[in-house]
This record gives sequence, C-alpha cells and structure tokens, in this order.
Amino acid sequence: MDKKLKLTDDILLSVEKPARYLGNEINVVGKDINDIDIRFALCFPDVYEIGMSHVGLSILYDFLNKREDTFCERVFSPWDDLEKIMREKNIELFSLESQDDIKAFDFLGFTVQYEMSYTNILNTIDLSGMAVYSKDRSEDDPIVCAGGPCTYNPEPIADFIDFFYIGEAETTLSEILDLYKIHKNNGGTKEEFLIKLLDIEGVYVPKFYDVTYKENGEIKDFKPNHKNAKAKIKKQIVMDLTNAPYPSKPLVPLIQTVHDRVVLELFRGCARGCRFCQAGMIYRPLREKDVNVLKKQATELIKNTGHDEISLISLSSSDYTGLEELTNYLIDEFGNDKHVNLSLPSLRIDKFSLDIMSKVQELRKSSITFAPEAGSQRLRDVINKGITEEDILSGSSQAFKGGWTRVKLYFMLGLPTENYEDIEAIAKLGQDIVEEYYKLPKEVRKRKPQIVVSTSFFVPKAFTPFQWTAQDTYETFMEKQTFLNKKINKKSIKYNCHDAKTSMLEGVMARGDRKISKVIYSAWKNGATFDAWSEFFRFENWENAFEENDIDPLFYSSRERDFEEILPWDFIDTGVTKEFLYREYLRAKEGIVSENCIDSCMNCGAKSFGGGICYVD
Amino acid sequence: MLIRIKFAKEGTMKFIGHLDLIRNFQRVFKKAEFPIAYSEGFNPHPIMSIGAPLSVGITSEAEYLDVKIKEDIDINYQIKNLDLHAPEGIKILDITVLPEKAKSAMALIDAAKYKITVNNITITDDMINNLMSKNNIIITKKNKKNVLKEIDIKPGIFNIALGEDGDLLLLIATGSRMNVKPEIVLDNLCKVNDIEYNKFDFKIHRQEIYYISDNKFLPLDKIL
Repeated sequence: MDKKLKLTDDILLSVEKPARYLGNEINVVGKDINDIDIRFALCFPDVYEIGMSHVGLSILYDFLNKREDTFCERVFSPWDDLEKIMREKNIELFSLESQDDIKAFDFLGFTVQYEMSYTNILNTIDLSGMAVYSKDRSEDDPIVCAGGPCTYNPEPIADFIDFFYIGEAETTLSEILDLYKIHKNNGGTKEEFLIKLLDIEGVYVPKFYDVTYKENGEIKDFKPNHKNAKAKIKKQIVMDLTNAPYPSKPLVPLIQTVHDRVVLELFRGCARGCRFCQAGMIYRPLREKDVNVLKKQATELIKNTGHDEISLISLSSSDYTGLEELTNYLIDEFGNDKHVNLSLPSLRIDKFSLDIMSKVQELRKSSITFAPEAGSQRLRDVINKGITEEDILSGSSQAFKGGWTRVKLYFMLGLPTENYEDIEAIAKLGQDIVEEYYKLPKEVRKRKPQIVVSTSFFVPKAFTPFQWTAQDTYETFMEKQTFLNKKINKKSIKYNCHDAKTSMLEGVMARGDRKISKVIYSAWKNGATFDAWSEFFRFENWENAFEENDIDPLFYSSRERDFEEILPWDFIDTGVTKEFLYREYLRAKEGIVSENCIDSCMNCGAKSFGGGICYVD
Repeated sequence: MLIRIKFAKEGTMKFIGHLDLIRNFQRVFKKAEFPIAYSEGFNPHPIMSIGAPLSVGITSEAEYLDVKIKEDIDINYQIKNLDLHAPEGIKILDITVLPEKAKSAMALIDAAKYKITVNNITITDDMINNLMSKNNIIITKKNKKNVLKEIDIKPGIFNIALGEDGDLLLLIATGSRMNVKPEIVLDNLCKVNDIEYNKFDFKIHRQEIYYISDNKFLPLDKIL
C-alpha cells in the first residue's frame, strides 16, 4: 500500500520539509500510465509551498486531468538542500504523482508568473537531465512548453522553450493535445509536430521566426521562416467563465503552504485601466462568473477540502456585480458555527466594503489596505489610478471609526513623470491619514494607529501604455527611496523599503528580446536560481552575465522607445491595440485620466472578443 | 464531552510533522462534518490535542488524539466517517468516550513501546546486556534555559528485547514526567558496543502508548 517514492528515506529525512516531494496530498490524481496516451509534467518553477498556493496551477491540473487520455502530474523546484543531494547522487528530477523521471513525459509545461523565476526554469530543465537550449535537446526529450503572464513577452526565454501557449489554457490547449495524440500514434519527429502546431491559434513556436537587429540594437525585422507560421499570435481566452471548468476537488497539501484556502474566482480581466498594470491590459475584456455558480462552488469546495477560509480573488473585487449577494451568502452559510473565514483581497475601501469587512471580522479587526500607487493626485492621474485623496482619507476615517487602527499603503517609486514633489506627497498622505485618526474623539482612540507605507519600484511591462517608457536607473531608484525615507515621520508611520536590483532586472526581462536568453543562461551558469528569494539572490551572477555577453541592461530597462520601433512582443495580439496603448501613453504624459470599462468604452480593441463587459449595458 | 481517537500514522504520513498533522485533522473534521467543539474568544479554534507527538520519520499504529465534541456521536459511524476523510496513511482505529474528569492524554502518558527494524547491522542479546548492565546511561541535553544538563536515561528504559525477526523491542519513558527518545537509546546502544550509529539503519515504529496504574502499563484508551 505504501506509495512508490523516488527518494529514499535517508534523503527525505535529511532535507527540510520532505512532504514537498511526496505527491500524497488529498485529492491527488492517480492514473495508470498504461491507460493514457499523454503524460504532461506541469511545473511551477519555484518551491512547493509557493506553487501550490497558485490557483492557476490548480485550474490547469484539473483541466488536463479531466481528459481521460492525459495524466497531468506536478513538478516544483527542489529546495537547495535537495538539489545539492540530487546533483551529488545524479538523481534526475521527477514528478510528484508517479515519481517518474520528467524525461519519461511527453510534455514539460511551465507556468511563468514572474521574471525572477526564469533561472529556475533553466534549472528545472537541467535537473531533468535535458539540454537547456531547445536546439540541443533530443527527439526523446519531452516537448518543453510555457504559458502564463510573463509569456506575453516570450522572447527572453524563447531559446529554451519549444512552444509557448499565449492566453488561457481552457481554449485551444485541448486541440494541441488532440493533435499530439494523433502525432504520437502515427509517429513523427518533434519538428513535424511543431509544424503542425502552427495551425493552432495561440501557439508560438520560436524556432519558426527569425529576428534581425539594427546596428543600434533595436529590432530590424521579426518574421516567420516557415510558410505556416502566423504573423500574429492571437491570445486565447475563455469567454464564458460561468461554464468554464473549475476544480471542485482541488489538491489539499498536507503541509502548510502560503495560502491554504478555498479560492473563488469572481472574474477575469479588469475594468480599471491602470496604465502601469499588465494584468489589467492582457486579460481584457472583463468576464464575470455567475454568482449562483460561485455559491455552489463554495459549498462544494469547503466539503471537498475541509479548508477554514474562503478567498475571493480577482483583480478588483469591488467591481464584481454580485459582490454583495455573494458575501452575504457566504457569511450566512459558513460564518457562524461552521467557522469558515472569508478573506477579501483587492477591495476598494468604502462604506460598503467596510460593512462587509466588519461582518467578516466581527471581533478580530485586521488591517485595511489601500494601493494609491502614487502619492500625489497629479501622478495618480498619470497612471490612471482611479482613486482620489478624498477616497483614501474618508475611507481611512470610516475605518478608524469602525474600529480599525492599522492601515497599509502601497506605492510605487519611479512612475513615469514622477518628481520629488510626488514622492514627498507619499509622506504627506501617510501623515494625513494619521491625522484623520486624531480627529476621532479622545475616548474612542484606544491605541496608537499603525500606518505602514510600503514602496516598490516601477517596472514597465509589455502591453501596457508604459511599454515605451524608460525605467529609472538603479541609482535614481535608491536616491528616491532615501529621499522618501527622510520625509516620512517615523513616529507614527512605519516605512518598508527594498533594494532596487531585482526591479532593474525585472525591467530588463519584462521588455527583453531574444538576446536576453544568453544573459539568463549565463546568470544561471554563474549560479543564479531562486532569484525571487532574497536569501539566494546574488546580483553579481547577473552583473557578470551582462558583461560576459556584452549586453547593456540599460538598453532594455532605461531607454525610451519610439512608437515606430518594433517591440519584441509586437507579434502577439492581445486584442488591445498598440494604437490604444499609445493613445493612453500620450494621455498619461498630459495627466489626462481615462474612463474605466464600466462607465464608458475607450475602444481598446478587446471588444473583438465578442463578449464580456464590452457587451454589458 | 471529551473523546479519545486512536489512529495509525503510516506510509508517507510519517514525513508529516506534528503541527501539520493537527492542521490535517482540522480539515478532516470539517470535511466529515464532525461535531468538534470550538474554543471561545477572539480567535475560536477546534479543541483537540495530541498527548505524545510523534517525531518525523516514525510510523505508529497507536496514536491518540483527544477531542472535545459539542454533541453525542455514533461511535461506529464516526470511526468510518473520519477514516473516509483522513489522508492516505492515517487510519482511524477507535474512539473512546472519556469520563467527565479524565486526565488529558498529555498528563497521563508514561511510556511508549517501539518496534525497530534494523538494517545493515545486527543487534544481539549481548549488545543489549552491555547497555543495560551499566549503572547509568548519562546523556547531555539542553534544558529549557538552553543550558546543557546531564541526565540519566537508564530509569527511563523499562525494557529492551530482541523480537522474532531480529527486531528490537523498546519500552521507554514518554511524556511530561520523563521522556526518552528511541533514537537516543539506539545511539547509546551503538556507542557501548563500538558500532557507528547511523540513524537510517533503524526503522522505528510505535506500537503503543501507555500510562502506569497500579504498576501496570495500560494502553491509553483503556479507561478504568
């Protein structure tokens, strides 16, 4: 009855958290590999506890395993203690479910959620015993594919990946698998399969495209080198979210992960149009899930997992049309004697949300969070963040009256057109919130308010109105941070700040072209893995990698582009047009706000998908 | 009302630590719609405790979890019901209703019996005699104040014997009054016999947990 394990007890008992490597979770899928046609290794290239907290992975796992002919298994990055042992003892990377080597699979698919996981992708391929560059891999090796938000600019990792899937898997991923099954049964080379893939929407096969560069480093030409390769790759999205497959029996890890909770997906996309936000642009148009389906899913999910928390996720939960109905239902159904907590991230703080939060956190008042992103109204208009100082101050005031004393504020430094007055405005806004608290009558002010200001550094992303803009240099970032640090009144405000090195690297990779592949390869060779983890991140690995390849990172991060320049990701069609993005960029520079999709249509182009909010009155 | 759930922890569950085990039980209770009682106050939590947490790497056929319930239960149904919802490797064996003023498992436990499968080396009766003929077996251990202290574990070793297949059977003190870890006994057994101690040569399995009443060792679910 004991499960077959790849690692022996002496290895498992000498590494941290051996349960990361067992694949024995509740609701784990088991299939007889003799009964299936396709073996799919699905990889989140980070440690188990991070990957298992990602709802996208759970959706994909469920989606793929619903196919009777496919067995989807999971792979995560082994922690450095196990990696060391694997390399010493020549143990190849394996899947959790069957514990078989990745090499035995048909596909190795990566979900790519952040740029700083790129070196972990390379490391995963290498630990699996395969060549890191696609061109060096053999016919017997699995086909390596990737998807996820970072792959909307696939170019920096194009040399390592056989094909990319652009968009949401629930649409044409099935066609890919159908095609593969026929291909596998009939026999044929990997190359032949990749050529067949060129007929499927949303698939990008990098080897069938050539890039040439101008002397100044800009792209001269990007074009297909195969007659079947499409000039534009159209992103794939689910239009009917209500009836889209959703896991009713998600995996429940036996060890604590980052988020151990039931997740309800309210909608995909976002109506807001913040100009810095990639998710808000690439997932357009906004598509809601019916409230009754969510209610049903909540009941099912609590029953099948035993979790004691339900979290509502979306890019802007306050915009969900059924929010009030849903939260009331969940509180009545699960709140009282069932002891299930409700967590409501990304809510706008207003009377309605404070009322809900009061009901949810009857006795235990945690903190409330604002993300003004910029300190001054001028800069908030530039980034089209539809929140005013009045909203923030009155929201805080109401929260204080409601008994909250902790307020968290998130800002970005280095937004386009930012000046030192905008930065000083961050300190002032924090102080104004403190003062709102002291406007309360003395007898209700039981403790000191806790105001926490956090700043991150702005990283311009592909497919946003700021895709043409220059990112601040490392030095400017740090100067700005030091300036703000001096301006913040530490008696009443806590300030969380960071080092800007990873933001600069993200800046390079978010808008990198194929030449960046070499840099990522060198950085990995120099020892970079787990770059998203401060305890592992070493900037020297990257500094040396840029030098070794004679690449100037500032060319990618801190250079203003012209509208005419061919951007590395231009061949991907997200539905949102380049003309719209540029219009928004010009409006940003002039500080003109644009309306959100709920109020009015700005003609971004996403209407071409034929559904969602674009067709709601 | 308090009940004591007896369960086995086997297979890959041996890699799951105590806190995660508790969290898993919380989810089992929720899935099984088991009427567990919650504490009062700001942050209600289900009332449950394990008397002698098992170290990671050790399997067991007799673990005990004390749980407060808010209404009467059908014991036979709940054994099946909880077992159905428990993770692979956790087997619900029995449920005992505790009398009103029963001591908690934690306060009750005196000893535990282990069956140890030995690989790569052979343990003989002579080797056991070499250990047990010593007047005392001194180990150093950090106390709560982080100061090294010498302790004699000999009084905590009630019995060591060889079982049929060369397995080692160990009855040792467990719990709040005295606690001897099986690994420490094995380490000392190797030491006195000049054998290099490698913890992976020993597969440890807990067979029972006892309390002592009238000089008799009674299993934890044997309520007098």
